[in-house]
Amino acid sequence: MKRHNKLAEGEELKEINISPLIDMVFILLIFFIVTTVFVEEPGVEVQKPKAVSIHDLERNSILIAITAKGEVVYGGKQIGIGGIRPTVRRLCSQEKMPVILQVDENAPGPLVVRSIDEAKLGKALDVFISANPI
Amino acid sequence: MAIKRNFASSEDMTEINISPLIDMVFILLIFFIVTTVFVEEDGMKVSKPESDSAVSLDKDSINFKLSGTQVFLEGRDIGVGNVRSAVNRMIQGRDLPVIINVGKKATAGLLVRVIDESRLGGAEHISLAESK
Repeated sequence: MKRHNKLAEGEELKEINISPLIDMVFILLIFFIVTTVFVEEPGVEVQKPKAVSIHDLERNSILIAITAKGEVVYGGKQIGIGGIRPTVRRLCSQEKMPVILQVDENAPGPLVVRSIDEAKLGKALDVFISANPI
Repeated sequence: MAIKRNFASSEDMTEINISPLIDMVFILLIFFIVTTVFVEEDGMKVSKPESDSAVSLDKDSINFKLSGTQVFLEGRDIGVGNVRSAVNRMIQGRDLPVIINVGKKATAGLLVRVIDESRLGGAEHISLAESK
């Protein structure tokens, strides 16, 4: 009761101190700026093969998916096997990037080999096949 | 001069108004939160031999041939499970390249499996080729 009275009558509490809020928001902002990479995701779900001898791949790469039906997808669009080379060449013209192929377990093997070939011909830095750890 | 005196004498301007700054920072923050994707990819490196080097490597290499679910080494079907031991036996500390010929019916899953097993068997250089 006493406290309530005090708040009601007094004009001491004019403003809430928002500087900790601003500090926190700045820290969050810096975190998100640093971690953000603008990677175009393929936009299809594939069943990745499992493997043991794998390592972390670079984030700033070109992600191309190959589905079980043999479709080649980049950025939500079907580009087909012939679209890999121009796409990779265009993206690698500024700065060389590795290509990561997200292949489905049941994707045709020869298509995967040809895709690697096309990515190499498009002047990709390296070609990787994405896999899940067992 | 008048302004200067005004500043010095009065205590009116105690704080800079920072609310627009905070608004802007919030908008930036929301933008970055929305656009951030945490891409975490694990994978393995793959390579293809150049067309001219493929022939010269042929003799001194381990040549696997994938067809359907079978893995052939020197014409015998050895199966995926024996790839590691076969590579380990043939490589014996040397730097033998492994060449995987991918047949028409082979799946990517099998291909990745064979690459993985070869690497575990000690192969450093693994190349892929498409069988004719």
